[in-house]
Amino acid sequence: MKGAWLAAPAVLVIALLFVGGLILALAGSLPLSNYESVLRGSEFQSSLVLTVWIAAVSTLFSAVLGLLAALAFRHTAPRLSAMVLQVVVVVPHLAFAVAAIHLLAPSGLIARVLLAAGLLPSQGAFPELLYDGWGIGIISVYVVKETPFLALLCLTVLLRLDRGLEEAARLLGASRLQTLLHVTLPLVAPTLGAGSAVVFAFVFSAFEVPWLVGRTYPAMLGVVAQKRFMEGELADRPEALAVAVLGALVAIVVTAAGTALAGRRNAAV
Amino acid sequence: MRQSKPGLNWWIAVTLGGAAALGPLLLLGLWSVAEGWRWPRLLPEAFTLRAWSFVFSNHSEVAPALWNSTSIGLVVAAVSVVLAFPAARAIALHRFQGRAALFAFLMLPLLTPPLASTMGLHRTMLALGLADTVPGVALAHLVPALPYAILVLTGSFARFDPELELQARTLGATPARVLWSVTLPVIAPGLAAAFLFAFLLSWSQFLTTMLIGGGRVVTVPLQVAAFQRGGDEGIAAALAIVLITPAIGAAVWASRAFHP
Repeated sequence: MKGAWLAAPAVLVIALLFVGGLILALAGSLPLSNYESVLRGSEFQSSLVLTVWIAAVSTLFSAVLGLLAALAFRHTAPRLSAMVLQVVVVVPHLAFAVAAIHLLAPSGLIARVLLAAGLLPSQGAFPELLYDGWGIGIISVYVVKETPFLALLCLTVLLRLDRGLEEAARLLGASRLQTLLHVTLPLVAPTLGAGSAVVFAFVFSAFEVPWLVGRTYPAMLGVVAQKRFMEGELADRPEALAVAVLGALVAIVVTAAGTALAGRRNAAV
Repeated sequence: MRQSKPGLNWWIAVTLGGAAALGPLLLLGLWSVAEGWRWPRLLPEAFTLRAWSFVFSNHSEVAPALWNSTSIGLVVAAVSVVLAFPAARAIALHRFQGRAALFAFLMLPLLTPPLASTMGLHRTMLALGLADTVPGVALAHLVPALPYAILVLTGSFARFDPELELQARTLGATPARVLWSVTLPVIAPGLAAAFLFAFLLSWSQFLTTMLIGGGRVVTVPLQVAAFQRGGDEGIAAALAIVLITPAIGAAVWASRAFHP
């Protein structure tokens, strides 16, 4: 037991600042009638639908593109590719959100290029991508940011993979596609699954990206909670806390389920 | 590892990926030096260093943001590493009951969306008189930074052989001397990486700073958003480049340090 005391200062900090914060958030969100009125409110419902949609679509695109990128970079210059991917992973989301405004706005660079190429009759003809109801601007930012993250995870697995399994499948007459689907993918799936669960939970609790490149109504859950907390009356705070707690619960359940599922498949392999 | 010549797939991936990842950052660079870039021009009409001289002038509202971000980041990184060092050592080198549970507990902030706990933390900060202050924001930044530092250092200690320390002790070195001349030099790369990660996490915090700082503590990310929303796109772009510079520097340094 002697060694455990070395961790005491760190435990104390996490307990006071994080667990203490969670407990105060839970206590402040009570009584349960606050949850009832939040869940009944139309703002929460449409915000929840939007948040789940954005998190799910961003995760799906990032997972597919990340896997494809990892497969493409696997044999050629994997170290250099990993370095470039790493750069994108560490760049704050905010920078990509600002760039997305300059790219995707009706007067953004994409609209200008299309107009110059004669593919756009006028400025008004460019679709509203940033503040649209589907959250396309938000999704674009997250796909650009999370694809390299999942690609790095997959690439790490692929580089450590025993090539013998794939070569054996090929020697036994499996086509390239069959080898990919039945040998390579099952080996990458657990890591990709766990990584995707993390991405989903992360996008689910997004704030600055939807705050900058998303609609104000309905907004993602993080934006709704922050707004009620900081701009509302003091009496609005319990409901703001209830929104935040509900959001955290959904994110935790999804991450836990995703990780458990990935772990089970991992054990099966 | 089999290396092959770049095929078509590779070129497609590199082109698409490179354009999607680095294109937006180049666009920010262009906006930061653009003097007027009206619709529907493809390139800025003229170039200016106005945004950059504003960012580095002493009497703009940018100076306190740069100072706050840098000082909070350095303090958070230093405190994280000092707290993480013994904790990581305990997890990696000591065998005791509940070790896995302890590790899971310390990693909790990484697995939980930060909004709820930060809102609760705001009440603690109010009670301590630290709401809307720089120390309060720094304490709040410890929550995501410390677990990362522990994660990195646990990896370093897992590869550390405590026999080295025992040998030094047997040869008559004091515990302080062993720490200074044996343990620290071996763990140094891990310490540097943990410091860097913790700094970057603090440097890019947004919502936590907003909630605990209450709008009174300005940092670089908050100023990027403020100028963007306020309509000065040149300054917002220049500040966004300031925001990403440490991250890119760190990624390049890390890949050189870890894959020599």
